[in-house]
Amino acid sequence: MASAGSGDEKAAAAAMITLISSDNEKFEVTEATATLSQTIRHMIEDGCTDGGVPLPNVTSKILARVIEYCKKHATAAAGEEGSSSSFSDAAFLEVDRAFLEELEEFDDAFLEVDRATLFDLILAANYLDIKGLLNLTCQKVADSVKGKTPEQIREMYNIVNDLTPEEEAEIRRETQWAFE
Amino acid sequence: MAPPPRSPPALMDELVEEIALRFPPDEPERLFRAALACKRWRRILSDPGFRRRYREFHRSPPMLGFLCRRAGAAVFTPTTSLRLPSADLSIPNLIPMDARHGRVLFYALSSPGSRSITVLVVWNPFTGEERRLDTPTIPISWASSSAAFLCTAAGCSHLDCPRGGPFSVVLVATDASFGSTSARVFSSETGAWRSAASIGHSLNCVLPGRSYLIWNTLYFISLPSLWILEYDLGRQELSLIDPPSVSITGWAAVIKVENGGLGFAIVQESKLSIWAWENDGNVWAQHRVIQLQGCSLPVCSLSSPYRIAALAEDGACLICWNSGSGVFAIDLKLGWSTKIATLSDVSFVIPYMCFYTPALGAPSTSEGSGAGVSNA
Repeated sequence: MASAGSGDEKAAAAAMITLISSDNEKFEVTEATATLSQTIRHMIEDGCTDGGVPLPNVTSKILARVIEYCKKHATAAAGEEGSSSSFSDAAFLEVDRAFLEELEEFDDAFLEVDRATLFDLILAANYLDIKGLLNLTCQKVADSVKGKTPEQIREMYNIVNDLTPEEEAEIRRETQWAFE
Repeated sequence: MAPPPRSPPALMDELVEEIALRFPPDEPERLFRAALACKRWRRILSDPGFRRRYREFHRSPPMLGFLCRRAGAAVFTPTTSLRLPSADLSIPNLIPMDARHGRVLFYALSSPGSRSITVLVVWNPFTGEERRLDTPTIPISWASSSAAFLCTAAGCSHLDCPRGGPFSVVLVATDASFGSTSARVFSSETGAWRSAASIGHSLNCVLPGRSYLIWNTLYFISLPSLWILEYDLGRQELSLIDPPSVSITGWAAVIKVENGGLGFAIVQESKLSIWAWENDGNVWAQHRVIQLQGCSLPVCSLSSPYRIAALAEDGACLICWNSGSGVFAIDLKLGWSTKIATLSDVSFVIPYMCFYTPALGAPSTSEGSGAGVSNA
């Protein structure tokens, strides 16, 4: 029984999924990596992944980045599961901390992209339902607005101001402190 | 020549929300500036649904400022860029006593040097609305009493208490012989005070200042023994909890420790001791000791020790001040302090915690136009 069990686990660990980008590029990823996406997890559960998973909303350039994120974070999730069941001594916590720091460094480097790519990543994280990636990318945009004027926010995010001068003046008058 | 950078793709409304949810509540200007980007962003950020999700996302309202007494008058000092539309109070000789659920409670004295409270005042800093409550018939001295404000709106989560909604005030006062303390409760719905509880004790006196609420219990401090006076809002009972040690003296505050239990913070010269109440043994256990200089507070002289009060009712933070150094916030978990104001000679420092989100150009709702205020 034990050997059969470990055989199943190996098979599960090795299960590969093919993701197909909007420009028809194929990416082979492990199930552990793919299931960071709730959207793909549901498709696997429903058994609709034979012949690959088409992702018509995600380009190959963005999908490659998303997979890079999922690979790193899937390893982190596996590491956490291991840590809870095996060791809990100080040395292991130290390793854990080092790993979390490494993950943080990875996230910081991952976010070093232009604004258009960052928005593409937000759209992909939302479509694929990857909570961690959505949180990371939205936080980055939220942080980038710090200290910016409405004009700068419009310029950064390609927003056309359709408020009338009267509407704008009224808001500024009511909450003058926010614009000083 | 390099091609111009590609324009970011448009985001759906729910993704604009996802971004704006992550604006920090202690920088209220960020939401207002983003709301001015275009009509769509203004609509999304002013939407009551978004504003509710924003409060639920952050849970703890930020400190927007603090009230204190300075040169005989009550003043509101903002700690964010937010400026109140109606920061001036029409009533002279006020002592701030509590702030909770978006409103502030003051004692009003007949003259700056007077000890007797003539009236209690409930104030909404955003609308400027003042409500005066007559004191119970017996004379009450500010020096031997304290009072707490509570929103009593049915089913309120206290993240967004209704403006002008029902409330109660709990007034605890020690009698002239310092041998007993009684609790009286004012209800905005009946407009009257009623006696709720009384407790006899040896020589001691309630310390005026901010009360602390954990679940359904209000905590006050009693001097000189540093008893904690506990008022159970459900059972309407007063009880006393002994201090961690009889030999302890100093300024103290009730707080919540990391596990959510009752904590007691005591400042003795340059040392801040935190004690945690252990329910299984009904005893205090030393939780930790923080050297104030270690968390970068200026050295204080013996003649002007630091005074403390709890900053928020859901975290281990203190607000700390003395006559010469200014006002500081101390994060007990991280063991560091931040200077929040350079004011000197302040007393009765009461932090004001509240969410402040835009409701700009929104269709008229029960919340009215202008900015939306919510609190805890």
